[in-house]
Amino acid sequence: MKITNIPIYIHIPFCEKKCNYCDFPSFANQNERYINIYLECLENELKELNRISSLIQAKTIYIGGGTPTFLSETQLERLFIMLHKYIGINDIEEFTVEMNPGSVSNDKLKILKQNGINRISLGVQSLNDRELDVLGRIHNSNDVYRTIDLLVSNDFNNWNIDLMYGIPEQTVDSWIDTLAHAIKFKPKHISTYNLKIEENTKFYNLYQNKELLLPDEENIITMYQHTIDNLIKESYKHYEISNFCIDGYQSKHNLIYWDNYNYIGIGSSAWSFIGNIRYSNPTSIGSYIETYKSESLSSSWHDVLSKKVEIIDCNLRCQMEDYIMLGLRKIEGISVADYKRRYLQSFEANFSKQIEKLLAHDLMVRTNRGYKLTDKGVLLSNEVIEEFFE
Amino acid sequence: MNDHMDKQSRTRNFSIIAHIDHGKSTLADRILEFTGALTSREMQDQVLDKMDLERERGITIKLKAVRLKYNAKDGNEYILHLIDTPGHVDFTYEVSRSLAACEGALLIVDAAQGIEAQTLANVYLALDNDLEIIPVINKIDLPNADPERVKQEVEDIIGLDASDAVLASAKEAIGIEDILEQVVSKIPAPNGSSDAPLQALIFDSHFDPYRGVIVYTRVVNGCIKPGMKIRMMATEKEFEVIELGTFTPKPIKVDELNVGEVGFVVASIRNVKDTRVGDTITDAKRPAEKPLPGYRKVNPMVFCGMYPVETAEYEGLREALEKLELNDASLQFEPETSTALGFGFRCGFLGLLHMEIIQERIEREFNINLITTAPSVVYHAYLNDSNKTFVKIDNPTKLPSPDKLDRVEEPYVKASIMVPNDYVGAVMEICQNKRGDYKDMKYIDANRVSIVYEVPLSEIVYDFFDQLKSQTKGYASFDYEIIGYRTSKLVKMDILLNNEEVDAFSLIIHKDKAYQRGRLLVEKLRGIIPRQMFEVPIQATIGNKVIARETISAMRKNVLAKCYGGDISRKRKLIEKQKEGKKRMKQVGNVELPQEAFMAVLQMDEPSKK
Repeated sequence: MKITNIPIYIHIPFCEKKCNYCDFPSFANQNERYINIYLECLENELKELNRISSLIQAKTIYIGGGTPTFLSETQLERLFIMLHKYIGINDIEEFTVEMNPGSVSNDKLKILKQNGINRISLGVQSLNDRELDVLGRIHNSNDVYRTIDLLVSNDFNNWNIDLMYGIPEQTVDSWIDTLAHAIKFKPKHISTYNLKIEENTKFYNLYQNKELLLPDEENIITMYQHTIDNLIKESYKHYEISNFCIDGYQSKHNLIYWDNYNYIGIGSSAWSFIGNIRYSNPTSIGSYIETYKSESLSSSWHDVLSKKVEIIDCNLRCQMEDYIMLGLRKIEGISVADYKRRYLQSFEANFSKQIEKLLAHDLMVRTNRGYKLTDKGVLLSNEVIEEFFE
Repeated sequence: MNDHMDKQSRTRNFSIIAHIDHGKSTLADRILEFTGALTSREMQDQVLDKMDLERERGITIKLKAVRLKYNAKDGNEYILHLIDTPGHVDFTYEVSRSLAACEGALLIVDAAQGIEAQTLANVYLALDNDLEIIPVINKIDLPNADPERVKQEVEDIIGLDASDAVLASAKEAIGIEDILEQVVSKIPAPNGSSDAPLQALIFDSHFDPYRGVIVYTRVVNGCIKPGMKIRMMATEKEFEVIELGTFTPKPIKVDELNVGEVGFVVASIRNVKDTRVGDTITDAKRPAEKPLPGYRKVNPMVFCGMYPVETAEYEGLREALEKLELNDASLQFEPETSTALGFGFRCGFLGLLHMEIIQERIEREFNINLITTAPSVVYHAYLNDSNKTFVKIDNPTKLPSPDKLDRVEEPYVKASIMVPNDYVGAVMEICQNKRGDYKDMKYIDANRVSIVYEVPLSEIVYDFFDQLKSQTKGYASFDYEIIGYRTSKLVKMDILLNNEEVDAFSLIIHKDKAYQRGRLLVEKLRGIIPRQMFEVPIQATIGNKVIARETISAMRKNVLAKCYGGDISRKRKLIEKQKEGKKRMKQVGNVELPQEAFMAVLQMDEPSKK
């Protein structure tokens, strides 16, 4: 079996410190030895993949976390050596590494550059030091300036910054301020996320005790609308509910997720979608290491799957729902021709009732290629998507 | 003396009267254990309460009779029939019939709590049936037990001689033998003649899918044998006896049920409604002249609409009701249609508890999500035509418009409340608020007062229990009986959602209370109904007049901000969960209503004056 043109996600679940809002399977401040064991497991997983597929050719690679740049220089080099060894990356279109301001040195950036990284995603979150403190981030706004200087001096020109609104104690004004500063950096890509309080986080406990001063819904909506207005004014294109970019710099890797195509995830808690099967690696780093600590002798697809923790067999209905769920999050919406090509059915025939209702409620509109959410629909996108679910 | 006369003289039929929580079930367990009917190992806690639901709620719904053998200190072996009674005001009539099957009763009184209104009601029922009452002061092991005070209460309130009252603790198995000795020595053996024409009192029945209805009966005169053709004297239905038996508590087949005995009859009876509680079984070939006294047909007092949340489950709901009806002769239902809720059933119950039990059983045993409309009583409407035509109104939507009405009558109850004197003011305020007419107030002892009011049943159905409980910190006990119909100033109040009338919310209400209730109800609904994708006005109206209005603002934002990398399933689960929530809602017009909304009409806290 050959796997070509595939996006690959590599998960590095280590951080210097866990943030107050984070419910990601990431693990703060692990010692070097433990990280090395983890890297060995990544290699074992890649080897296993190689055994069932002689050729894996990446279209994009995204190294996410955690904080991938928490790895030492030696560890980063080891990671790249193994990626080159097991994955064909000659034709790679996009190679992203996530990093946090302050976690990266000039030397580390040089390693990334040497190894073909052509896109950086920077977890800035806010440029207000008080807000960064509330979030429990390890960096301050000065670290952001320094890191961006380093990126520029190392010739990285395609980078994203992640920003967060709805932070406790944040005001509409402080958000507009953060946004304005971010624009001055001239990033090619900006992701703006509304902070959500997840269970099993520090914030969740504070929230339960009503000790979290979150901006109210009206303010959040105002923040979101300012985001769209201000970024569009600065020539950014709004292309996904939470994502903006200078045209041509869309995240290719993420677009593949949103187009509901296949991808491979390597590392603890990473999800893959192959054929019509979605599956996840063991979630905790411990159980992942347990699974991949020794070189696997698996030689069949079935053996590989038997190691995964959640295996979802997506039937046609489920695939269509996923396609709509992800597709409608793109501002251009979904293409009925693409839907037909993918699922051999008519979107309009499948969902005539839903379409009628959503058009009537002004949540969705017809485009020349299909359907997209209205501004109102974007804010209520979960309600819209739910309509299409069985 | 022949065998059965000897046996008759050694038979004792008794039941246990107790307030909820005073320890009836535990005592029954101990008696079974003591007489060796069940070994401890076999013994599931509280064996007489059969259904899970009963056990959970600590109440007994279905009666049951157990035959026990007891070797008394006088050297004789006695046959004891312990007849269990339901412990709630809704089932008063059933209680009275099982008491009628006995010659005596144990009156269990909590050594700390003393006598409660409900106990009292059942004691009077027992006295009406000329039962020998043996007082038992239970829970004497409790640190705050005061048996002497409670004995005095028994003498003062009921007028029973309590000097011999057994001091017991069912939990600790103290006093069980004393109780049994008193049963043998104080309760008379059954009267009646084995040679007289058959008269057997039906005090309960239940449906067995394999054998049909199983009738629980007490033979008052004559003898039943297998093969005999029997006749139910009220329903005039005839059946052939297939099997007779008793419960020990395991069912044991017997060759006959002779005079004085208690047991069950199987006779290929298909419908519990043919075996009405209180009816008399007689020999079809040699019928008794008269039925036993005391039979009456029980009519439901409380009605509500029951609708499946999923329209497709209508047939399932019908089957569920039919199955429950097999075992519950007092449950009534007929199909009804609501513009808001679609197809469902109008169901009649003995009371609120009965309603809640049926509702829970449907949801639990049959797995059907239900919407229950607010319970309503049966109103009597008289039209202003020349005949003053009489119409029974068991559903508020059926009340004719005011211009067609001469008058409307509603059922009243006599409510007896017993309460520590600190709470007299609170209780009287509740009763006044509930349109009650003060009738009587008596001091039972230095601390406790018995208060009697006449109150419209609809006010009892509304939230009387809850208010009574909260305003008296649970100290009040309460009992009621229907006393008849009276004319009241009643109007129909409707609720409009998004300008559409939702018939399931309509209610009949006293004119003076309509404004306040209307305002409370729309406020409550605004709190319960989730925001929709558009603004939803809620209005309460009488006729065409809007008496209260609230608005639910439109939902503006429900968006998943971060789309975490490849974890699509996480997003899916979120949407699926949201979808599940919606599925539990009922679409009424354009508005999605949660089930609680339909109960909101019932559960409103009146603003209390502090």
